[in-house]
Amino acid sequence: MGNTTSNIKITSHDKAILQLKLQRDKLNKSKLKIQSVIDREIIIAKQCIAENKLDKAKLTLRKKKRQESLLNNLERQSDTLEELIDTIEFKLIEKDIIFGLEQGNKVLKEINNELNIERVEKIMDDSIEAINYQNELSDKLGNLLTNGEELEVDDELRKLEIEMGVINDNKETDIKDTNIDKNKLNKLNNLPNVPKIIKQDSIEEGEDEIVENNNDYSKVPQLA
Amino acid sequence: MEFKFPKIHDFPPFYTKQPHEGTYKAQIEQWINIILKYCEFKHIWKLELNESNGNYQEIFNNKKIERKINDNLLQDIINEMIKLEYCKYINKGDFKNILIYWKNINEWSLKLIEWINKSGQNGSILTVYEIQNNWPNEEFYGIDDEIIYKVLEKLEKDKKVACIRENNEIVGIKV
Repeated sequence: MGNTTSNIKITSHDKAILQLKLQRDKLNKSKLKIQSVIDREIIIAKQCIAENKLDKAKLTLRKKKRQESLLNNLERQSDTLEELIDTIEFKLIEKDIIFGLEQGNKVLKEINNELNIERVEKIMDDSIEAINYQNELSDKLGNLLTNGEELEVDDELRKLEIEMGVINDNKETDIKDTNIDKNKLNKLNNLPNVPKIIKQDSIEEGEDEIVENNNDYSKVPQLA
Repeated sequence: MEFKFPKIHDFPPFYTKQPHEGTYKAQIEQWINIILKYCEFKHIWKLELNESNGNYQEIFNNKKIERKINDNLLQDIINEMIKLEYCKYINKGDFKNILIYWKNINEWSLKLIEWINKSGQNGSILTVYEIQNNWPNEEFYGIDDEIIYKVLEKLEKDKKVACIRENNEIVGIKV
């Protein structure tokens, strides 16, 4: 169950290879047989020599020689067969590799089709449009807030800053503010939304304060 | 190299049937173990249960302590081995010649699959003759026809290999 090799199919290729291998096995068996014959002839020849039957010994050795050349032939044939089997098996591997390459190429093409330039450009255009739309929307929403609401927002920010301890010395900043305000007021006397500017300046001051105070905080533990 | 028998082989009561059932079971197990190890060591597939046989002499007739195995005990051992698929009678009705598997069919199938995976043979075609004769350093070298057929049939049933038959006889496999 769930085994990748669960359904092994035997193809005509497999059968052909099997036939070759069976043929090779047969040759190997014949080689063994002839080898045993040769071994026997040697024993017989030795016997004949011992019994001084030189003619018979010579005959046996001739037989042996013939068997040996047969064996040689067999060995060459089995070698050829072996080579053929190796080639076929290797070709099958190559076939698999080509198939794999083909598949890979196909997938690559498909992915490239999905990534074509026009589409990318369209997406980029869409993105720019979306960004513009977003900016427009923010602008509009920003304008929707009345001046009074802006003030409330500023107040809330200030409150939170005090609450979180980023602004310590309220009076000092206030004094600074008024100093700057006087200069600015001289220049921008006639503008209707003066308080807003004052407040915005004070925020900027507050931000400066944040940096300073942060430095202070980082110094405190070192001193202690 | 001589096979080194375990100590129990020199223990005289080991050669007669033990009356206590638990002890007897253990005794049979020990005997099976000795027989399988001995045959594997000597690379013997076929064992002749004849008193004049050299291997029989060595395993079942301990001259050092002058003890020879009791026939009933031997019969029980063989029966148990057949039950566990460690051996079988070569010819029906002939109780003197047994085919020893060393490992049972299941153990052999695992061994063969392990070898196939280890040697990267997956997907290739192998002839039965090739499995038996081409790898002298593997345990299954020279494995008996009957055992290898059983192993391959089991692997075919487990869908690990596909067997190719000629005249109803397995000649090759695809792994």
